[in-house]
Amino acid sequence: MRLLELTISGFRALDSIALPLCDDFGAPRPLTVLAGPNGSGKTSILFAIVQTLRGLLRYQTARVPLPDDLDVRRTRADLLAARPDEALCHLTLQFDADEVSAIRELWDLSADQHRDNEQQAIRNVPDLPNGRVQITWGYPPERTPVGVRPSWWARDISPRGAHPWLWGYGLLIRLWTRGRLVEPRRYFQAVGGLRFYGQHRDLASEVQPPDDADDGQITTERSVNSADLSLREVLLSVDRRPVSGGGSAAPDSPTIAELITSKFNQVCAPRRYIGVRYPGGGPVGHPYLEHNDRTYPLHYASAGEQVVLDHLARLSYPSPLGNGIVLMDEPDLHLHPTWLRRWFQLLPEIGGDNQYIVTTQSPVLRELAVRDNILFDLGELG
Amino acid sequence: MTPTQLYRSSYPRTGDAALLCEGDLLGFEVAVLQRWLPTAVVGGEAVDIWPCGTKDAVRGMLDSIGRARPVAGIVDRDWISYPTVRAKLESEAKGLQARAVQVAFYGAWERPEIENYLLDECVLLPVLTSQFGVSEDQVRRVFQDLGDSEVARAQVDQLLQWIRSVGGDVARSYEGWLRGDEQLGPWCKPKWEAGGWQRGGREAIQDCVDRALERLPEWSEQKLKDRPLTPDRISRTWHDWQAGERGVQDVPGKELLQCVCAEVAFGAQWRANSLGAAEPGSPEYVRTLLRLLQPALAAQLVKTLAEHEHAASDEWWALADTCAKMVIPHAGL
Repeated sequence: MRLLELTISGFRALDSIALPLCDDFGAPRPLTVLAGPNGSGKTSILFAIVQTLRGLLRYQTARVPLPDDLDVRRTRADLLAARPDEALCHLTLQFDADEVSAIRELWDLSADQHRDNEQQAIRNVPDLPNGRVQITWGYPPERTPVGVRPSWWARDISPRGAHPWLWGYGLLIRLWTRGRLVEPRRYFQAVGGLRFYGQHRDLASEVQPPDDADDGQITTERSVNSADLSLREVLLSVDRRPVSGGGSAAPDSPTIAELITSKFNQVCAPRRYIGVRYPGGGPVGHPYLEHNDRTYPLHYASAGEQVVLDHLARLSYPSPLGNGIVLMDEPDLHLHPTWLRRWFQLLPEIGGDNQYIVTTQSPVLRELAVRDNILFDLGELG
Repeated sequence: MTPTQLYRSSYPRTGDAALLCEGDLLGFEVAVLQRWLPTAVVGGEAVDIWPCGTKDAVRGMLDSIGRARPVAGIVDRDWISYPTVRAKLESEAKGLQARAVQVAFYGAWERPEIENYLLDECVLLPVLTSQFGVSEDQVRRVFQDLGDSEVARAQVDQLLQWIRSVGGDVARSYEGWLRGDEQLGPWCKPKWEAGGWQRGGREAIQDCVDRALERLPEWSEQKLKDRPLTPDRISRTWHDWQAGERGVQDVPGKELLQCVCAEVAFGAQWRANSLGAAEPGSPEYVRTLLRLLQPALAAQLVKTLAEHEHAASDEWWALADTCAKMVIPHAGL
């Protein structure tokens, strides 16, 4: 799934903007960096994407509040008007041939198990001309004869009835949590999901060890597709899980924890992540790091270490995200320039073939973005 | 991208050591070195890459910042032989070190310009075929054709430089005469016309030079009396050049890269929105095209160097070793 075009109007800090997401050769850029001063609308762009897609992709996150009146940009004239203005976001998604094929297979698998209910009807998913789906979302929510639509409801989808394509990732999670996929990794690589990394991280509360023993295993469908699990929960959950996602994986298949360890150690060297340890052989596990001869638990790690682990863990959970859309709001916060450069270099290798949209105020990230022709400047201060 | 964006995105520096090079903020030097160094050296991100513009500026900046930070400098060798340039720069480095400048390395690329490293098939073919949707054979044809022409042109330039170096003021008039040859002149530089670079083939250029040399004795009797530049010497030098094994890696790399990319892009009917009304083959078109292709070309060069697929991998790994020595004391941040 790739975001090809995005236009936003009247949303939060944004008056009207069209964001080019393809390069001059017509291909979607794997990474786009949005830079600009405070209040220029960087975060608003990421929020608009989440608001437009959260309902359709069944993506749950408390890091972007559900749409409300504050999402509508107001001018001085609007304040005097009785009725608020309207926020609109229009975007075009592209599904490649592998993804289309994988989603069809998932619906077939699902329908085989539910021949007598509504899943049968949904098997008849429409064809996608050029693999494209156009979505329009707006606020305030639409009124219908039977009431008001939910605030995350998309106003228009083209081609009509294309919803099953957007539900692909949610369906993948459902089938995976029920153990119905023989080769999960293949689907996780092909079917794209959405990830949002907020700017206001309260990682301290996410890394504390629990008061009571727990094994950190999260397997319900709802929790797996949620962005709101704590970092500790995610790390515990993936600690011994093979990258293949289970199924017919070879016994020596690398674990997701090994993948996270390898990437973390490349970005944060000489500090190292060493995985989950169980002090004293007890039942309560906790993620640990190492530097020189000192070993320390996750809640003792620096903010920068926690941020890098947060990126790596969530992109690898429940299986490394492939073909997805990843939104990161100022990921440079807390990172030393050298770590930031390494992180930037490594980003395309984290997970699969994802599309990243990243905001920043860091001169280091700006420089790297300019070098790669991926900077979108939202203006100057004042 | 505007110059203001570039400037604001490039300063201040945060590294522990500096590698100075030619080229500007938009140049291939900084694009390639910034990508490559972190892949080749542990702690390579801590080496700031400074594009200084010119050789003189590199030399000046070594002096300027080299007492505060470990520094290295690398410049184009252009058309001087590599051993000659290396000996000269090593001597200069010793002079700097004697004045407490922490120069870890001061040398030159073994190829004339950094763009020459992008002309290898392992770099050029994957990038141009994927970006423009053309076949490898199409790229090879354009490259071979333009490459032949550029080799011949480089030979003419070498001859003219040599004439100038041994003939002094008198040679300058001869050089003007040779350059002004009505047939040689238009072939000296590829010119964009009707959808392609009009260029002289190797044979056409050599014919023109041969004719010029045939006229040389009569001319030189009047102009070169008692000078070291004799017709025999010129003629012998020219034919030595022709017999030499001078491949496309010895041509002006930047110019050949521009020509090949522009012709392939035009053949694929490519046009970027950012080009506005610029005509294909115009300087603006070529500059924009190279700027848009730069990330992909740089990334592919870095990939082939890392995987030892590139013919110049050893040279680059030697540079990596030098840079590693600069940052190892700082590797723990």
